[in-house]
Amino acid sequence: MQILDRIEKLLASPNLRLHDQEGARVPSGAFRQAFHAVSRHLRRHVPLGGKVAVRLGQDWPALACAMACMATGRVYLPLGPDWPEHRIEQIRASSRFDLLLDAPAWQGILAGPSEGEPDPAGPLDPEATLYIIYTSGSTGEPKGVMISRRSYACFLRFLDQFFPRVGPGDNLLQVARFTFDMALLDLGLLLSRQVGHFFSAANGSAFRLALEIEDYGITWIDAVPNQVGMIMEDGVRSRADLSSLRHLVLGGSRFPWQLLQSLRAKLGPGVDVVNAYGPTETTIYTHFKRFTGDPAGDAHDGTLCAGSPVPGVTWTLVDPLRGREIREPYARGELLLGGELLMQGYCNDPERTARCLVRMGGATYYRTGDLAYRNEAGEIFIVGRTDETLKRRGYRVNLLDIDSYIQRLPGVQQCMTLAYPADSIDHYLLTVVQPQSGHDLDPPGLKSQLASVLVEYQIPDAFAFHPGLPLNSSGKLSRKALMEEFRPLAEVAIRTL
Amino acid sequence: MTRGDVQTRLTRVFREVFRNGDLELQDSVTAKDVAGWDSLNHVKLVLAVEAEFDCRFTLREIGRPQNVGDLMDLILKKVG
Repeated sequence: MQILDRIEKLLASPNLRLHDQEGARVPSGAFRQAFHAVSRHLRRHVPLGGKVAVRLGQDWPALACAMACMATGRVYLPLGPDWPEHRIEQIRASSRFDLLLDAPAWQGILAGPSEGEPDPAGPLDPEATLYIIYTSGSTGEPKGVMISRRSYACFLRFLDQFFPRVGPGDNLLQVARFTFDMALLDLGLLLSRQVGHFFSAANGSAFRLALEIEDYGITWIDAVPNQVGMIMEDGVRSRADLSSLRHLVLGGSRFPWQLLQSLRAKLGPGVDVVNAYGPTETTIYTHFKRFTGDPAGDAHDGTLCAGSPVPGVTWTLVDPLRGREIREPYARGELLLGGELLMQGYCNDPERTARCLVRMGGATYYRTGDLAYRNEAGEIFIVGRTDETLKRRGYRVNLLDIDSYIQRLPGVQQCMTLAYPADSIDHYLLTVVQPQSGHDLDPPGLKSQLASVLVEYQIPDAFAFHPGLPLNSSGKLSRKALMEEFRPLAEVAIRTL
Repeated sequence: MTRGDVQTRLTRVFREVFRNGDLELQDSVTAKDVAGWDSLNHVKLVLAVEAEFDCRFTLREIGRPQNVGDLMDLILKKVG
């Protein structure tokens, strides 16, 4: 079924159950009216294939705008309402978006006179871009991942098959911000299974999240493992009635073995727990693993299985040093992903696109940078990273990206951001700064300056000052030496997190 | 117990949980204003507040406060 067909079917369905950020039901008529008003506005003011930046809060208007873009063949480009203006301007310059739908624009569309029926839209090309998600870049500039209509339609077909027991009687809680492609899994469930939809306003509070599950009768959550892990802490779990939960899909960062044990113990065997893996560059998730409770099948060597690919996904493992394909089970290599879910490229950045895509055996693959291995059944296990990009609070951050911003601050001679694994936040970030001669720098001052140019999860946890950063034999800053020198300090800090 | 009493004791709790001896509380302070106030420390904070004021919040009570002022109101209502 095509995306437009799914949207039209949902809007016409008595199963349309949407709620605002306070949990109040949005009248279906009001939603349809708003959807059609935005659709007419887009058809009149944005060319087919034009980009529409949607900068609205976590509430149903953003959902209406996203669906209107998808239905009318305009490219949906979500922006964070709390993002620094500097980042917005970078994305504006990079994407050259045609229209910004923010709160005033939304109010204007709803309040303005009806714009009447525009010219009929042309056929929607499956190869056209459906959405662009901006992720962290390595040179200080965000990069826009472009996903086609065909790829998302393939993903939705998979949801139809993999979650047949999910349906209109389910209540989904959207935890992910619209700028995180995990939100497109939530939208996908809406379009695929016509679930009831609620927004979380927890903002990091495990108590609030647990209360929302209880109050709304939530049956489905997809989130990063840490968010669900927090609800399992005794201080929260002991007060909460989570008996409504039926489906947990955890992805976006490492899913610890201990957390799966905790979920099984505290939620019982009736909850379907799924691990999902995949970069933004390959349409949300490429691999899914439904845990059965069989330790031999669920994990290997303490690492949870990331599962089998979505039909249409092709993949291979490559020795990062020699470039040869690895076929034998349990041998580690860099995971390459291709096939139906592969991105079209980075928006207006053919050079960066070319750097991360590779041709092998006549097919194109995305170099994930993830270290992985397969088992005999062809399921994959993710064991680490090959580069400086890593997860922090579920978001992907690039250490070189962070350094490039800190480097530009007054008084900074040079710097290097170090990352130490920390279960509760994925990684603890410590930036070592060499101040310019005669300059006094302080951590609160640095953080305050970074807050205007970086998103919150990119800002380091701590700063340390060093009179002269060590170099390696090539004359480059030695990450290895710094990691060892500051490891004791980091370990103490992590223990007290 | 006065609101001032609550603020004094709550400030002590915050300083211990967030390891910041200079931390000062105002009603408008939220998680975004305090370094290290993430999900895990939020749980620690609630447990520490309960220990300090010898009370236990229901999920509904503790899920609602949006800032320190709301939290102080809750404490006063609970133990005042």
